[in-house]
Amino acid sequence: MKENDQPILSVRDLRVSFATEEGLVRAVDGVSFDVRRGQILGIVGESGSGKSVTNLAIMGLIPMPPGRIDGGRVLFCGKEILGVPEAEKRKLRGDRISMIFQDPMTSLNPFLRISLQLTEVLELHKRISRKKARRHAIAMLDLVGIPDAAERIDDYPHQFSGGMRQRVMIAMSLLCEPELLIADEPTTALDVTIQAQILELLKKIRDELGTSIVFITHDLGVVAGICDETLVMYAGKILEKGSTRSLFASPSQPYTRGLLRSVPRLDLGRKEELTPIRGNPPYLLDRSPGCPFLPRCDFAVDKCGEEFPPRRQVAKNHDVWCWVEMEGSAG
Amino acid sequence: MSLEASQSAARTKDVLLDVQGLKKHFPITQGILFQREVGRVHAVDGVSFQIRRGETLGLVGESGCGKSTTGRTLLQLHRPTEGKVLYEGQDLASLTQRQLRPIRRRMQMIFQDPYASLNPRMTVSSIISEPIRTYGLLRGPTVHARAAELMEVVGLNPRQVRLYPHEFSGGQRQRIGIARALAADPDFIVCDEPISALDVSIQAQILNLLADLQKQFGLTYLFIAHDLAAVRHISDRIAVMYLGKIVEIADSEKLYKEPRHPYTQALISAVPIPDPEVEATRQRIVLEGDVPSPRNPPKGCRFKTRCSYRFGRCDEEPLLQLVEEDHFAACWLEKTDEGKGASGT
Ligand SMILES: Nc1ncnc2c1ncn2[C@@H]1O[C@H](COP(=O)(O)OP(=O)(O)OP(=O)(O)O)[C@@H](O)[C@H]1O
Ligand SMILES: Nc1ncnc2c1ncn2[C@@H]1O[C@H](COP(=O)(O)OP(=O)(O)OP(=O)(O)O)[C@@H](O)[C@H]1O
Ligand SMILES: [Mg+2]
Ligand SMILES: [Mg+2]
Repeated sequence: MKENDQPILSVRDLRVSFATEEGLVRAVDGVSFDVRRGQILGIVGESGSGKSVTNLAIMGLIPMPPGRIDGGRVLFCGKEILGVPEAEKRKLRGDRISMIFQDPMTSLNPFLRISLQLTEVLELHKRISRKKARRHAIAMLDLVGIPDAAERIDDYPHQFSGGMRQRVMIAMSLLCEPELLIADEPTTALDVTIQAQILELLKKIRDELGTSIVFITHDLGVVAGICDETLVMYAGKILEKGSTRSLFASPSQPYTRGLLRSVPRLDLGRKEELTPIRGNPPYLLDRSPGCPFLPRCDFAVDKCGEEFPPRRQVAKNHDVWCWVEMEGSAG
Repeated sequence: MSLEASQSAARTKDVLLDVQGLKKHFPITQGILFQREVGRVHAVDGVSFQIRRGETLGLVGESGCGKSTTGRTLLQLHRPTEGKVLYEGQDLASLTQRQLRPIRRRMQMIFQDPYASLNPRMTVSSIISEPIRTYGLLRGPTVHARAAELMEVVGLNPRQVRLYPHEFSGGQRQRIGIARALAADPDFIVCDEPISALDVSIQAQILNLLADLQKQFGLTYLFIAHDLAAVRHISDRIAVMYLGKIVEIADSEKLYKEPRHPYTQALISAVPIPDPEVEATRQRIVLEGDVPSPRNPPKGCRFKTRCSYRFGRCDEEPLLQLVEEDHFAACWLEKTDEGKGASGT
């Protein structure tokens, strides 16, 4: 089918900057990727690498000023959504695209019963009766594993535990059965046993409802467990992207390699010493024309400081941005 | 953390800290003028364990299970509600603040949040040398020389001593916190989530630094974290906490390879492995429900509300018992009769 081949989301050369007191921060600096239907795409990268800003831009939620979209295109089902009027964007948000934020309390109103917050979304977007909306909301709470959903729906957010609030948030974001779900570190604040529950839930939603998911995290283990494809971001740029299997089996950017080597693994024998990435995270204000990872890279050549490398394919569905072709990529 | 250190510790069983039946409850009060107690948070509810000289004891468990409270109560930053903390045989819980003072120097803490734990108006040099002045360890210009030296020890550039905390990255700030702890010349350091606020690419740097310092200065650590892979990497032994109780303690390899308590098993199986091939074939124990509230913990075994092995006996509280050499677990599955000795799994 033609329609299914078209990516649900295409981002092309997206550029977002913020005017700050210290200077212009190029938070997202030429980012391109596709999300295919029914796919879970992971975005990893350190704090400040531009993961959230990328997705806020997709959702049309960049605060302007200080933010500014400097360029690029965002196509949702083939249609440009970057410059559309606010009213139209609002219609997309929550209906066809929705977002789960890292801290559930930022999107739940502490003073309102969750029943009201859930049914409001439905009434707004789907124009169905309150009674029907309530029934639907209870079914959704049930799906995300809230016990006694029919009773708990009338509780206030603070009456739920952190993990349950996150599930309420997921239920809310799924109410209108969006085609695309953007989950910004949905499990970072949660314990591992609760994280395992939420990850199972997201996989189930993808499998049963066919929802496409963008999953932002800094946990490589989570990416390995849930994402079909992975983007590695650093200082506003994508340094590597590909199928999760290929990327983990043969990381081809020194940063990706360094990350994978630096984390201790519970399933392998214990190492005497870890292999960290040297140096400090990048400072976004001093921007050289070259590769932002250069100051911490052990493989750098002269060219790395002069120009950001073009895309280079290392395998089918696996691209890297690096001047240096590393040998023995596997491992 | 070194092998020799752990082996010699195991051989001599040279105990630095012996914690016996430690409890810390926080009162929940109501009323404005007349505060009355309406309940208690059973944050730490009767834990016993030992920390051997030169070793790292890891402490893991989910949010709110009482890890930080345990660490703080050991250091007497919270006075215990009940129980003993024997430091080289002396019960700290029975000492007055004044009597504690000389011992306080020997026990330091490194915090989770390198941003919040450093005074933004002090230079790095004064932050690091604060314990030196507080405990009168050095005087005059040698104080600043020592601060510069400590910066070097933790991998910072000593020429940056006059800078302020905001001029450093998160990982560098954590190094400042570590240098400050070292300045007191301690024997024992409670590391409370020292890497969880840091970027993945920086976490390994700090773990390596802590391990190096331990070797260099013969330090003993209580390493608190929820990242089981990091804890297992740095710890000789690991204690697993659940709702104010320790449910299992073992050598860190043992604990990972042969966990006895159903909670430990679930916790280990929930840790994601950064390898898609492994993740694709892994069997995961997904626990039902949430951790109950420490205000009103379940009677008997506290894990019973989420445990799939639960049976009648679990309404009584299982005690931490020896299941094999150097391996303790608190679960009725281990032993259904009162006889001594370990049963297999
Ligand atoms: N409203 C804003 N004003 C100024 N700068 C901003 C604003 N929002 C984001 N930035 C900057 O943009 C950069 C990218 O931020 P972003 O939130 O996308 O990072 P991230 O990858 O999501 O990091 P984290 O893992 O910490 O969530 C950062 O340097 C940040 O300081
Ligand atoms: N000063 C205090 N007053 C009242 N209750 C407290 C206090 N400190 C901690 N608690 C409560 O005691 C329990 C244990 O808290 P603690 O901070 O020790 O947990 P933790 O295991 O360190 O959790 P985390 O992983 O989230 O840091 C929690 O229910 C907490 O709310
Ligand atoms: Mg973010
Ligand atoms: Mg804590």
